[in-house]
Amino acid sequence: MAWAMRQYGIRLAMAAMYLVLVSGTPLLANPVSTTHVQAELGSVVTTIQPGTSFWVVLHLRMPAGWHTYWQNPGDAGLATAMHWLLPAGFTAGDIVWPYPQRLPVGPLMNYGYEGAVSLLTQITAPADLLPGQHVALRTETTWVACAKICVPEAATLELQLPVSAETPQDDARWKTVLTEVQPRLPRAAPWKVVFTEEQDTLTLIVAAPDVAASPITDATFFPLAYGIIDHAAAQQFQMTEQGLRLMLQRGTLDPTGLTRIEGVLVLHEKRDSASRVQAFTVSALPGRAL
Amino acid sequence: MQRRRFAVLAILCTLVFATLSEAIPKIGQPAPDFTSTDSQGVTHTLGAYRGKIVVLEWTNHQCPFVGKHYGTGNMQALQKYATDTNMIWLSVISSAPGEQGYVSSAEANTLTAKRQASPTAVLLDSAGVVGRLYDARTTPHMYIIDAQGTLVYMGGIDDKPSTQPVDVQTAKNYVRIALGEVLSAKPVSTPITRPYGCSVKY
Repeated sequence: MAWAMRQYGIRLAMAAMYLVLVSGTPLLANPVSTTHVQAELGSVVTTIQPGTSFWVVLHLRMPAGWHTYWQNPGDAGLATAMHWLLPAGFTAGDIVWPYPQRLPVGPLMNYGYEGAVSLLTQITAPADLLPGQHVALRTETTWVACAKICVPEAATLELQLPVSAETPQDDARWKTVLTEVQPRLPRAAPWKVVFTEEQDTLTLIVAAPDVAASPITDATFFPLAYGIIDHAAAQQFQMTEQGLRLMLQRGTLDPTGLTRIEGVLVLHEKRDSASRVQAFTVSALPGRAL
Repeated sequence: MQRRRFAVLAILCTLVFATLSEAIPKIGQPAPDFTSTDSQGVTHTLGAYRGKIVVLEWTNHQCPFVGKHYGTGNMQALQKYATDTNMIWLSVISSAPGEQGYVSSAEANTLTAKRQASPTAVLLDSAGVVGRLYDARTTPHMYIIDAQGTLVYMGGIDDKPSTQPVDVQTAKNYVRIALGEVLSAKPVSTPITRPYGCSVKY
C-alpha cells in the first residue's frame, strides 16, 4: 500500500514535471493570487453525479480600496469574464451575478464590488459520465481590478472533482459561501414593470401595491446594457398607491424607441430599525403611467 | 426692491449655470468650442479649425486600455491616417496633477516621440476643462468633429472592450470607419458607441 502510494506520488511528480517542461507553464493553482486579487474556484458539491447540475463559485477577494466589476461595469472598467474549458459533454451556464454597488469615481459612476465577490456558474455533467474517475473543470478568468488606477489581471483556475453515482454531499465551506451570497442574488420581480420615455428621463413604473405599503428608503436600478441611462446621475424614486416610480436620467447610448429595459432593481427598506435589501431582475416594456 | 432684483438675478444665474453644466455634447449639434494649450506651449481653439475634420482622443499613457492601442501601433496608425488626410488630431490629457497619466510638457513630447505617435498636438488639460466639456469618461474616449464644426461621432475606438492586444486585429474600428465616412461626405453609420477603458483621472 505504502509502496503503491509512493509509486503514485512519484508518477504524479513526474507527470507534473512533464507538464511544466512541455507546456512551459507551472501547474495550475487554486487559489491564485495576482498582484491585486485572490481568485479561488470552489464547488458546492464534493462529487459529481452524472446527468446533474451543480454550482461552482468564483470567489474574488480585493484589498481595501480596490474593486472589480459587474456585468455592466458602468462608465469605465470591464466585467469579470470566465471562459470554461470543460471535459466533453459538460456545459456551463452564464455567470450569475450578485447585485453590484454604485462606485463613484470623480464625476463618473462604476458598478462593481468592493472587498470580495462570489460569482456563480451552474455546471451540468453529461448523463453518460462514468463514476470512479476524476474530472477537471478549468476556467480562464479575466478581470480588471481598479482603485484609482486600473490593472487587468487573469488567472486560470482548475477544480478536480470525483464522479460518483451517489447523491452529492455539500462541501461545507463552499455551501456557506453560496448561502452568504444568496440574499444578494436578484430574483425575478413578481410585479409588472413598464417604462415611459420623457425628454431627458426614463421612468420605471413598478406596479407593486405591496411595495407601496413597505417603508422603502432607497431604490436603485442597474441596467444590463451600457449607456441606456446616465450611470452617474442621481435616481429619484417616488412611492405611489400603485407602487413605485423611479426616474432615471437618459444616457448617451439611449436609442429612441427603446423596446425593452433590462436590469436589476435594488430596494432598501427599513422596518423597526432593521434594514433589508432585496434585488429583483426587471425586464420592462414600454407602457403608460399608472 | 434692489435686493429682490438681485435675488432674482442670482436665481437666474444659478439656473443658467446649472443648465450649462448639465449640457453634454450631442451628435448633430455644434461641438462645444474650447481653447487649450498643447505640450509645445501652443494654444489651440477648436473654432479655428473650421473647414477641417478634427479628432479628439482622450489619453493616459499608464492606462492598460490605452496601452493596448499604442502597444499594437493601432492608435499611431489611426493618427497617421488622419493627419495624412489633412485632418486635425488632438490627443487630450485630462489627468489632474498627481493622478495617473498626468505629464509635464516635456514628458508628453517624449511620449509622442517614443511611441512614434503623430497627433497634430497633445493638449494638456490637467484642470479637466475640455474633458468635462465633452463629458469624456474613459481613456481612450474618441470624438470626431466634421468640417462644419458638428459633432459626428463619440464613443469607443472599437467594439472589443478589452486589454488584450490580440483583439485589435479582429475589432471593428468605429473611428476608422467613421473617419472614412466623414471624408466621403457620408453620414456616420454608428455615431455613438460605448467608450471603454480606464476612468479619466479628473
